[in-house]
Amino acid sequence: MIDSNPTFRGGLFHADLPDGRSGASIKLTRTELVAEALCEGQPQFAIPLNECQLDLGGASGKMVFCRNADRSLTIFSEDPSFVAAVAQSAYGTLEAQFRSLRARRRGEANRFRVGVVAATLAFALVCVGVYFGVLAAARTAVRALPIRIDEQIGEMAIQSLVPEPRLDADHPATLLAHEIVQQLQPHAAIPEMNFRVLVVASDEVNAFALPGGQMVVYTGLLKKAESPEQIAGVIAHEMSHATLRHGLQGVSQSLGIVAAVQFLVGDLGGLVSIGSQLAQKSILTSYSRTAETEADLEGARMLHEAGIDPVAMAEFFALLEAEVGDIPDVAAWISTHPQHAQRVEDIRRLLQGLPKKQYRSLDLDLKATQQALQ
Amino acid sequence: MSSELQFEIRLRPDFSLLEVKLRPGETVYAEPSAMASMSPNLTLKVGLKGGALSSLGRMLGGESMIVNTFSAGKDPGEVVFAPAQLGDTQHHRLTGGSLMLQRGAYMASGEGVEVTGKWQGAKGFFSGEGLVLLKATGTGDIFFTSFGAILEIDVADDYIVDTGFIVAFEDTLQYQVTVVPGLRGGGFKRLFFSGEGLVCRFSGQGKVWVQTRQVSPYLSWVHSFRPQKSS
Ligand SMILES: [Zn+2]
Repeated sequence: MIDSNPTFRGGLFHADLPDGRSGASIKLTRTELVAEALCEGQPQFAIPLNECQLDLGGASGKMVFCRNADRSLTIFSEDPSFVAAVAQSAYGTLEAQFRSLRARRRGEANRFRVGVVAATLAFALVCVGVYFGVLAAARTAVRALPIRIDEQIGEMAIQSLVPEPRLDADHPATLLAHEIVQQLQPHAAIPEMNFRVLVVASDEVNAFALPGGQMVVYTGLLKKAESPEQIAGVIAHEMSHATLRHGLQGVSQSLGIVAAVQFLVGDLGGLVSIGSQLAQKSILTSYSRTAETEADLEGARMLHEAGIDPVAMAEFFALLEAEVGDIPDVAAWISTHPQHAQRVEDIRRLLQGLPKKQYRSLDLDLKATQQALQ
Repeated sequence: MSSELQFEIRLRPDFSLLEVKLRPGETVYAEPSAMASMSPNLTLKVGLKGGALSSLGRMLGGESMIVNTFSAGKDPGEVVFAPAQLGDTQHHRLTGGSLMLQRGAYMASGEGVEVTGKWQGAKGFFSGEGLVLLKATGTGDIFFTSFGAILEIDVADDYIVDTGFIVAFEDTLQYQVTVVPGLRGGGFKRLFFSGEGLVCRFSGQGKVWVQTRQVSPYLSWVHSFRPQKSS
């Protein structure tokens, strides 16, 4: 006889089973729920539908449990079509049970959501603290959230956001960029951040940082620079985006607070939607003007503490601005970093406030590196 | 249905080793670097198992993307796996259900088991343990490891475990990350500043495996013996 009842994957709890449980293949007949255990002997168990006590739960919160009257037997499944089949079963009692379960679950979800919204607002406040850049406060605020979050978001983004071809780790240009990062790292706001740099072979004059400390520098920028100190200026600025955690801020701002809640809760669409959101480079790597100013000032502070003249950073902005009209490739970094004149002025003003210091020149052969890039 | 692996877990609980005896044609998958010794006639393949998404999930779960595959050809052979941490190894036979694993707990699995990452959203976020739990599904054997010994707890109703002590749990259990009851007052600050005092409240029916040591307090204890930086 051909059995027209569909089967569902699930499991069951019963004292007679080895270890009290087993996976099961489940059938819904007109009068009972029948489960065949996927263990030795494949014993069958059944619960009459009119005796069935329903419950929702499981790690997903969407697993349906059916218990018999004395609760000695539990049959469960997470299969959405099982849930639908049970819900639509002609037995009025089950339908009513389902409705009350759904309502209870919504209530629980709402309570959870309220907690998450409160937490997200606190998160937003932390971001605001960073935003207004009172450095001492910012450091505390930044540390309130584990850096692992930035790192994991950054990791996820590398594949989709860092273009090919990338230079080898032992290419002179990569070594030069790496050396600059090393010299600046002890002076970063979060020195223990895992700073790394990739060099992309492209004539675009561009650089950006991903959350968590992964930086990307284009060979076009290395060729354009007139001194290693100018490159140090750009790298210090990008490192500051990472330590000030502008990427995370970008996520919560660009997606809006509601989407940020979803991002944190991960309920809707899960990995896939987050993956596609992260694939939009702009969310992680272009920032507000306030964030840019903050990264300039923090970058200048780092350079100063590392004994490198921060004016070089300002010089590089000026250099790019002077050329932006004639060479289209130069536009990339400029387009995400507007307001040059103002920025140069801000940096100079910051420098006036810092104690006088004898700056050193970086012992790096930029000319040789540039030749290696020809 | 996949056959059950022949195995023995030795030297429990502190320095456990997993010895798998592969029959001809059998395969076992393991975390890279878990292999301690093997018969020369086994073939070892380094590479991805499962689709791209499951690999991504594993990456997010803090496990490397690569799983090594050990297969026996015409002759049987044995392979020994050692966990990275000082602790126990636990076997679990999946019969169509799923197991949720704390990141880092996965060591090896037999055929028929699919391991994927699961986005935890705020639950993972606030637990301070990273964003993702691993989910092992299918029919087959899975081996996971703990820091310290492993306690197996059969939850019948409600149970509370500190997030840092969870090794694995059956997916029939509902879980909620929350502040230790009674700590609710200063809870919010703790939530943000330390990840301390966070617990997982399990409800429903199913098993939880709990480890007897926690990694981060151990690390800070070790850290206190490191030479101090002057200046
Ligand atoms: Zn910038």
